[in-house]
Amino acid sequence: MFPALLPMRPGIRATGNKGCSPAGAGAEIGKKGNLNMNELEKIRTELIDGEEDAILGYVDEALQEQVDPAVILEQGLLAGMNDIADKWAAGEAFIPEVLIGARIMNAAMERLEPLMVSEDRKEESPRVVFGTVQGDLHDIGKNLCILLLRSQGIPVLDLGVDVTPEAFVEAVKRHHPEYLCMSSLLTTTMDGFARTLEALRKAGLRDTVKVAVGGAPVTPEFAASIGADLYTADAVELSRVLG
Amino acid sequence: MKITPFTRQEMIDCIEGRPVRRPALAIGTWIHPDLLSEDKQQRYARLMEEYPCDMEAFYIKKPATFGQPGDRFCWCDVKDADPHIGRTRSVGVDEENAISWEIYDQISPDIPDPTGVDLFEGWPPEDGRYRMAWLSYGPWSRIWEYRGMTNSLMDLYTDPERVRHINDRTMRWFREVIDQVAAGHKADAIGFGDDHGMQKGPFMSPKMFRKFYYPFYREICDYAHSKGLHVWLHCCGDAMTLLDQFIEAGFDVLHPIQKYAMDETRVMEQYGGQIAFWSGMDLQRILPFGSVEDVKEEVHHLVDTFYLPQKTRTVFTVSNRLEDNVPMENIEAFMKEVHAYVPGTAADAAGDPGDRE
Repeated sequence: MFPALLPMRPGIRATGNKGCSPAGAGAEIGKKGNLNMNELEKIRTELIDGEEDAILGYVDEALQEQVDPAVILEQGLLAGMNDIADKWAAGEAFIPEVLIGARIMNAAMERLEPLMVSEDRKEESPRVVFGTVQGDLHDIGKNLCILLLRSQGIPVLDLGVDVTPEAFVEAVKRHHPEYLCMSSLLTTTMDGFARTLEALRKAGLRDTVKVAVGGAPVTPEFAASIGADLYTADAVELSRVLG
Repeated sequence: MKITPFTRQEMIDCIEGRPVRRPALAIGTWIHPDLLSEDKQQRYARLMEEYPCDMEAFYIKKPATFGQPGDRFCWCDVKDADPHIGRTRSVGVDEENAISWEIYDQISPDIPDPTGVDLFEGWPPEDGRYRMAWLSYGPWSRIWEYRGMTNSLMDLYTDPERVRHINDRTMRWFREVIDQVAAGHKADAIGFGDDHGMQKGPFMSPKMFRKFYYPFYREICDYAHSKGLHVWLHCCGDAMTLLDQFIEAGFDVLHPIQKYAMDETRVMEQYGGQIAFWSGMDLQRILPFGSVEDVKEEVHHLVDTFYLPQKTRTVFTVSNRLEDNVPMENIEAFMKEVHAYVPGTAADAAGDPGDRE
């Protein structure tokens, strides 16, 4: 019942006789005239309007015109999501537009994915491990961060809510992410950050991963005081820093 | 020295902007003594004896979120619809209760039905103070509870008619409560929470807010006012761009003007005097982690900002539910300092030196 957000598969690109590199595809689009560019532009600019049927229609038209699925993804859908994130950061778009854009991208991916193949499986290792700290069940902010990170093609492992320091450590040990991101909405659970940092130190893993913290009560000063590597004020800033 | 709390009429005057002897202090439903440790409970009880609040707030008995077929006092009576059934792991609040539209469509149309339920169970007798009936959730919170927040935000686009249906269901419940409150003169106000703000900006655009929630709020305020009741709204986070619609809808009081999310000075410059502010002392940093001096300094800032000549529609409280990690001495300092610190200009404007300690 709960919609999966952005099923972005890292390392996916076009295949078959329609396939070529994005750059090559771009050159091919140029040869085919303005129609395809218009469709991509429409996908990009109209994604924010939330009209799923219209966007999927543009995707179908672009595919009929032999546009590389990877180009549709990167220059249409991902570019559109980035535009929405920019508008959100500027106060010109809001969470519903971000979510609905992701939902439409999700639907479009169902059409594009069969036309694309997975690259080396090693690329599917998460670059980011994310979770809400122990004792805290709030996950809206975490989910938004993950959504925007994935919209930038960053593979994220979502550990969920109420994550113990031991579970964070285990995930770092197992997946070797570049970033461990932790969220807390409650002032009463913020000590979960420091306890996780300490658990990482005890496990000899602290220097192997950058630790980012965030959430409504978290400040840059607090992040520095516990020895975190990164604090960002919101999901857009995090996606920009890691993107 | 025991402070004399506002009479009911003084509190009404405060809310409606007539001169009062000092800003009001009313914790409302934000401190639950039973959630505090035992020693804090005792100290809090003593504090309340010395500094009684200017309003008493009580919960209206809440319908259960989930029931079974035949249960009338609940929001969902579909058989075994409760997602908690069989759940073995913690999920986030976003999908704590989330149900599909297919389940929602099976809910009996006329629930929650309070027939035979004492909505005022546990309420103490009147003592001359202003009283508020707290209903907990407004329509935006109601759809969260039905659908989860992420779904709800997308539903605004994808299922607007069902969103309105939830608003209509919530409206029927509000009207029922208002009728009962007004019929027995049980209280002077209703209050409820709908969190539209994040730490930075609102969840939805002002345009979307006007489409879905302004009409509900306008209707509820008009109806409550027609019965002689004030309407108090709690809205967490940065709601600056929605404040004009809150005022236009007719809300009498807004809580909490959340520190760090909203600029209190700007709020007062733009909207001071147009609505009463139930100004909430910060619970993200100052009360849980600050010193007594930090607390006093913040009280001075709040009084100087919110209790101005000609703009005295001010009630002080805390910004959200107070947790046990707040030192008791900070709670004491907050309440005592609100009474101790009244700037000369504000006191003169009110025509009374106030309750200085």
